[in-house]
Amino acid sequence: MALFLKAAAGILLTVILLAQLRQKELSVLLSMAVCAMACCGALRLLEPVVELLEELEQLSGLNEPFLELLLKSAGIGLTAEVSASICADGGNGALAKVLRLLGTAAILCLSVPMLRTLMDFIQEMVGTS
Amino acid sequence: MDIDLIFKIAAIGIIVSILNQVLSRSGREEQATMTTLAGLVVVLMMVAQKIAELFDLVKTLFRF
Repeated sequence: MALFLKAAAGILLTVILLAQLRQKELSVLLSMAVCAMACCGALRLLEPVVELLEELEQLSGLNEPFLELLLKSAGIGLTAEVSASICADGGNGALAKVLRLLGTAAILCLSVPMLRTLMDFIQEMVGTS
Repeated sequence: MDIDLIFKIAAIGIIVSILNQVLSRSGREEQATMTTLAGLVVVLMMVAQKIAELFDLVKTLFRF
């Protein structure tokens, strides 16, 4: 909980300091640094959640690739979204959109094996009925 | 969350902008540009470390 309050205070402090900084490059760098640190804090808060997912995976006997795919997609989505927001903040809307497109393409590419598994499963069901 | 880093970057930014004003008022435009560039490089080194730390954490947490 202290981590959350410290991060919130740091972000509010940054907003005040950003108004003071005249150089645009330094203000983009400062907001990038604070975004990275706040994301690190958020990910540290998420560690117990991922451990719980791993326990659920063992309990349910689910195939390991499925959970791995889920986690990787979440990681790609988070990274793409944070990077795109920083780009948009720096005034580069086009780069932000391309970054989001990259993230979407990466997740789609990751999910191809699972979609194949689903197709095989459907063909089996249709074949037997 | 490293609050000190926020203060360091803001302090560098303010010092660089003051130096920039002083040097350009005294007619040393090139030195003013060099000072801004030096400040930018120092801050960039700090920020690069934090971003590398974030990407390492994403890699370990999301099993890349």
